[in-house]
Amino acid sequence: MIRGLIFLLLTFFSGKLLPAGESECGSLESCLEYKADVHDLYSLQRGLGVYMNYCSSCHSLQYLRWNRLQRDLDIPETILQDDLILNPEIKSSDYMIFGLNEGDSTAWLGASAPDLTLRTRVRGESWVYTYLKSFYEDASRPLGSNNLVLQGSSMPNVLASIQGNQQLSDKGFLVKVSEGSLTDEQFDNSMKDLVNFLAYAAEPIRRDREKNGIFVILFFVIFTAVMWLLNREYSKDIK
Amino acid sequence: MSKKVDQNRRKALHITSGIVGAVTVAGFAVPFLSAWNPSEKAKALGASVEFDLSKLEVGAMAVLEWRRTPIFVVHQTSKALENLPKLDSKVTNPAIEEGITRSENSKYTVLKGVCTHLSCAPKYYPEIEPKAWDQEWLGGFFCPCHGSKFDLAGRVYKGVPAPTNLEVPPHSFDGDVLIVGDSA
Amino acid sequence: MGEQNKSFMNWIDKRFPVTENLERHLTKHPVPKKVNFFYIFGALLMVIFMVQVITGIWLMMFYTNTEEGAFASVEYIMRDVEYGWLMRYMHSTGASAFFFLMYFHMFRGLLYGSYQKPKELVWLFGCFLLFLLMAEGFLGYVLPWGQMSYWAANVILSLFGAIPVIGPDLQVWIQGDYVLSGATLSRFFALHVVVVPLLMIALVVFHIFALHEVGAGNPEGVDIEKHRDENGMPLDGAPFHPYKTFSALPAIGIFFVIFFAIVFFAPEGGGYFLEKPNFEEADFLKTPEHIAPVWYYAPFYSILRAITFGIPFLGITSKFLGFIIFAASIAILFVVPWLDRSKVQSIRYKGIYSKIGMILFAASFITLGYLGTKPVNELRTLIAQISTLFYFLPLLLMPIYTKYEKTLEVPDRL
Repeated sequence: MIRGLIFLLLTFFSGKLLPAGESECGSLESCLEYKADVHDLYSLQRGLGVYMNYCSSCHSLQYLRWNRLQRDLDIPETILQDDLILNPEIKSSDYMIFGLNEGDSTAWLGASAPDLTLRTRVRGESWVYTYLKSFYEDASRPLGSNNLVLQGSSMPNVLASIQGNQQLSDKGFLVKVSEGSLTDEQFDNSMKDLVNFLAYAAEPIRRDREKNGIFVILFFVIFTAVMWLLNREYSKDIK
Repeated sequence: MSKKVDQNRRKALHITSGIVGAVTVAGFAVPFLSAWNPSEKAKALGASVEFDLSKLEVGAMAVLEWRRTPIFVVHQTSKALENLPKLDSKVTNPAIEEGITRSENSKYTVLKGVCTHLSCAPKYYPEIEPKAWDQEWLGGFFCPCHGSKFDLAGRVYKGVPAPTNLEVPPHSFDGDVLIVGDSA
Repeated sequence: MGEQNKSFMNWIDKRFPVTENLERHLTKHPVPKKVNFFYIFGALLMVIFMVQVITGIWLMMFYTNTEEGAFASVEYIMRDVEYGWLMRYMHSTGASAFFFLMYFHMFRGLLYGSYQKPKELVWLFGCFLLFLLMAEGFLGYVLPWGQMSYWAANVILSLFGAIPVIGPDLQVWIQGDYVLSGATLSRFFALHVVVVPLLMIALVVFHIFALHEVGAGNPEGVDIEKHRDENGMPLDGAPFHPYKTFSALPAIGIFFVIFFAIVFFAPEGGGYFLEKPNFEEADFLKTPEHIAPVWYYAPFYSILRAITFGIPFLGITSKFLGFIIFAASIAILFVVPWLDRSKVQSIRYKGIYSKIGMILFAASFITLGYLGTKPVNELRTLIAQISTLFYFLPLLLMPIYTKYEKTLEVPDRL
């Protein structure tokens, strides 16, 4: 009887459930699967590069400090000051806030550019990855571009120069109509780097916890073993 | 209870599990104790501050804020630099090894503006003239709370409540720029 | 040295009965020798309660309980405070673990009749603890001030608004504002960190005192007090320490292995422990596309949603009826000791109807839980309605079937 109930419980906990807020990818049937890898330091550094080139003119990272970034991504002091922060007024302990303030972006783009620190945790890594790859030309939009994942997105397609332009075919597929400076594969990898970096920014401690968690768990395995032996010894008394 | 109990085995198990238990408690304690250390925010607020010395006139004093403490920066006059060694006998700890200005610069003195007696803020009286608290005043700091006297380099006079010299905060000079705090 | 210790303890005991209470509640308290794994959840609940209290105290040191500061202070804890992330993940995972253990602990009670005479009060205090835990979880869930915090709390608070006549005023009074706002957040904080935990500590003490008065049960439903040895120790019993304490230790170890596996490798629990929309600050103007409660409220939330009809001629709206049934689904647990008329305690010796009843009850609880996390559609609502029925029926019909069904003979000894 109890076994039956446990079986029921197991069937409940296995199987894929769709939790609250799980984003379906807009007009796409499903998102392209992507799981960020925050342990590849070079990928994170490349992702930071993509971020600084294509995202940072509008999107801040308001919860991430420059010096945290420097420590975690192993960036030399001089590069941080001279190539990343640029502005001598900004201290390395400041947050990564960038130029465009909300009022300006609302005036130019019709919507404020959201802060991206926690965005990958809100939307999910697959969503962000798919979103970045789903821009297409749309003359009906004020800035001439649209996105399959977020229809009517007010974000202009800043990636067109590296990806090339895409158009929506009659069947609803994205078709590439011009070449960008990167090959498809290079572009894919760049976007993966960017998502990795954003996943890092959303939770800087993730690198640490996924690296060191195993030791805590191993310790409790030993704890269990020792306590099991202790208990077995004493339970002989009451057999 | 009829079976024979292996007391040695029990003893060994007691010790092992005791050690494991102690490690567990210690392990749990580490994060909780470390959480009380200054956070990144506190560290950011406590980071070093910079000050442009070129705007500080000779004989004037500027007050900076570093880690919520007033920092006195004094641009010593040549008169003061002459007078300071004369006071060696009047102060408790002449601190000759620190140099006349007690800073890394021969013109400026950098002090924490906190009286070493009971933490009041001493006042700056650079004038060389008789004062109510000292007829032979050669300029310095006077604490209004309990009457402690310090010379212009922050050295404490004998016979006042304050036990030690005014503290010199960690600082460095980069050309005309004074950096108070550990240089980043 | 030994003599000195003894006289020192004598001195203390005359003024404050330490030894007596230690013996009564720890060292000499007799517990049944043979129990199954279902009996470990009580000990684990004590452990998780301590984890929640300690991590909670530490989080409180860094959290800001204002509308403007709450969300950012959580990120401050996650990023700037040394090991703040660990406290936060332990606390959020701990909340889920608390409910998980609580549901198993209570299900054990239902299976083995841990509520039957003379254990009615043990069960009642336990039910109050479930109620307080639900309140505590709800209050705490609002504190990070994310989108889910805000909108889920809105949904629950608007339930109070459904109460006829006094409803709307009551809701405003609870909120301290015309909408859910910073005023609500501050009072929820005070309730979450002081009032409810204090009540819970008191009830845990009552729960354990009552249990030690009537004695712990066992899966056979055998009364171990009947047969004692010459020293008065029940033949089927063993002292709490070292036998019970030592048997709990490996279980605590296994629990921590699982607990820390989640804390370190899946703190979001796939969106069930920390929901994605909650990483966005509360926005009064933008409702998330799909509001779902955290998994541990899902069964009750499902019941609430399943009631799509009112009683028009009594002036009861479907919303209010939903609230009543929802409240009843928790309230009915309190009266279980008086619904069960069986001569035997354990499900092992009860009749077929009790067994079917338990299966139906558990199955519908799980189904409701599953549905509670999904968006509604017609089929799901129908299933939820049927499940609600089968949640209540086994309990409501208990007085009848337990009285008349055929039970097995309970052995004399364990």
